[in-house]
Amino acid sequence: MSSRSLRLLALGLGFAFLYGPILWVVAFSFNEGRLVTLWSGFSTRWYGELADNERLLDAAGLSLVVAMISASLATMLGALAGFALSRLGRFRGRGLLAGALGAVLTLPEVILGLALLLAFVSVDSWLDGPGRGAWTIVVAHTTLGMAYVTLVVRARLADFDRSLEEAALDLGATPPQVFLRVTLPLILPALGGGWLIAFMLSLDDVVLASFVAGPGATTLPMVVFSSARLGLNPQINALATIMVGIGAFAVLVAVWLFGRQERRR
Amino acid sequence: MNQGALAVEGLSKRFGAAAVLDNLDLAIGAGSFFALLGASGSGKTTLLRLIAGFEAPDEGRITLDGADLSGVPPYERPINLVFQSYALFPHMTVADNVAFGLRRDGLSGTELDRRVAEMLALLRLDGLGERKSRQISGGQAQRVALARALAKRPKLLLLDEPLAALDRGLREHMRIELKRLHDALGTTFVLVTHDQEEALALADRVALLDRGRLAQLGTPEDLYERPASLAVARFIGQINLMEGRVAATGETLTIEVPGLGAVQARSAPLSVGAAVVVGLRPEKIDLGPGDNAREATVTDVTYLGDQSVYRLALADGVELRTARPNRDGPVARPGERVTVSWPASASQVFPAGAG
Repeated sequence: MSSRSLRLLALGLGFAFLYGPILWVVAFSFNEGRLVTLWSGFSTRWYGELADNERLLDAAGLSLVVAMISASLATMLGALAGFALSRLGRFRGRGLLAGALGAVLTLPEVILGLALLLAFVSVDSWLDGPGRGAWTIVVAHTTLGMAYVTLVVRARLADFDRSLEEAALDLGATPPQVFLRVTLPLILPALGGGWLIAFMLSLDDVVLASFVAGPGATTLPMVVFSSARLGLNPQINALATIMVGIGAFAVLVAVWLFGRQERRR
Repeated sequence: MNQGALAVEGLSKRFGAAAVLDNLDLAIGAGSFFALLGASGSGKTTLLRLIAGFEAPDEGRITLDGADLSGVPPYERPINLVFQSYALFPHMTVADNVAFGLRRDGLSGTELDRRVAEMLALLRLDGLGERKSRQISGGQAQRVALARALAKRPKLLLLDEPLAALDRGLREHMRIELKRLHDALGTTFVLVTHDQEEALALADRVALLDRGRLAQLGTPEDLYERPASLAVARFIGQINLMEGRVAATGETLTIEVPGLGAVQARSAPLSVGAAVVVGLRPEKIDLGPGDNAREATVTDVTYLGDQSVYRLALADGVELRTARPNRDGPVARPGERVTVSWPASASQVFPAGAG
């Protein structure tokens, strides 16, 4: 066998390993029959049934809302933490902040989920408080997303040319104007990328959500996971196909944003 | 128009234990083209940042036309800076870069457009206004940085190593451009550079900084022909150095140099017996008979096109370098015996051990 065809074979096997299962799901979302292992003809009936499935649609709606809110909160908090860590020099608690954010990234999600659940339960009992619901998922996802956004913002600020900010000061811009007109526009792609990462993390998280969700607050991955345990349903295949589409689109946008940022330098 | 006189009084700046500027006094005349020259670590960049307002001095003060700048933030100083890296805003067009400072002054509409167009024309950037600032060449970026800094009509313009990033041909061109701008605007220009050639070629006054202190202040000719110390003589241009002892004083100094005997040198306030270093610029040495004539052997010839550099071995290990224009090719070959000479007025005498 020539080295060229060997390379092509390796490439094909690699891609099959990575994307084969996903393609399988996509293909069978268009299957006529109920069986997910036997092809019986092309149909879009599962997409139609999906559109009538209130439970799945409600879960999808909640997932999107939770992902948007938590990604936005995570971006704001992560940007602040990123600035604090890379711009404020040495301050009291700097090591603790950096370490705590790193811990969120490295801790197993099961531990993080358990810790958050315990925290919510204690807060609840002290305040006789609000109980758990969708808001606890938002808090949990903000915690996780913020750690990632901080990472992205710190990386961007590490190679940020400070003389640009000095030039703006020199030309008569007050510090708030420097931030709004120079710093912010230049780190905007990083913030956008960070938001997307947080959004996607929230959208496909099942572990944290399962721990902290209150009764009635069920996100899409939780529904998918529980229904897959009860037996495979072609509607889930259709749903998965739509999510793959959204995910691929988000990745393309992220690549485009980061690419633009690269070219600017 | 006689504005932009800067005075530095007793300025000190420390970073940790190291004194970067040490009780520095300096006066920069309104409308002059002034150079702050120094090696890295001389404190010239710190002085630039203090003048621009990015750092605050530990002691002393800076005044502009008599007004104390202490505590005045950079965005309120009538001083603008051309950054070494140009620091053009990459997310803006060339025209928006130039307009940035003017907008901060509240200009808008036709008045803003007029001022921007005026600056683009002054720097010969017409037609580039709509380009993104990362889509232009290095030479153009330099001119945009100048246009942006000059747009606010500062009383004083700071230039941080403005020619360092340009290639040779462009550098020559920018030098002429900077002189033209200075003549046209009458603004005080303060050039900060480690490149003595740049300082000598551009400035009418040069301050040489050495480890946070002023080593010498004068015209380019003062620094080259009449250096205040051995350190200055070494920093500016090439120089041959010979150690010796003062044998007699008078209209010229007679200096006993081991291996060469008595050498006549330019008069200096030194007493008989003092250990000295005699400095001699390469181009002031003649190949041929004259005062202070000595026999020498050519040990090496470096051909540089327009000129050749000759390395000469004199008696007792004394070595001299001289340069001659290649009017009809090199004037001597390696191994040749030649006579070297120099007028007493060509040599500079410094006390040994100082610097």
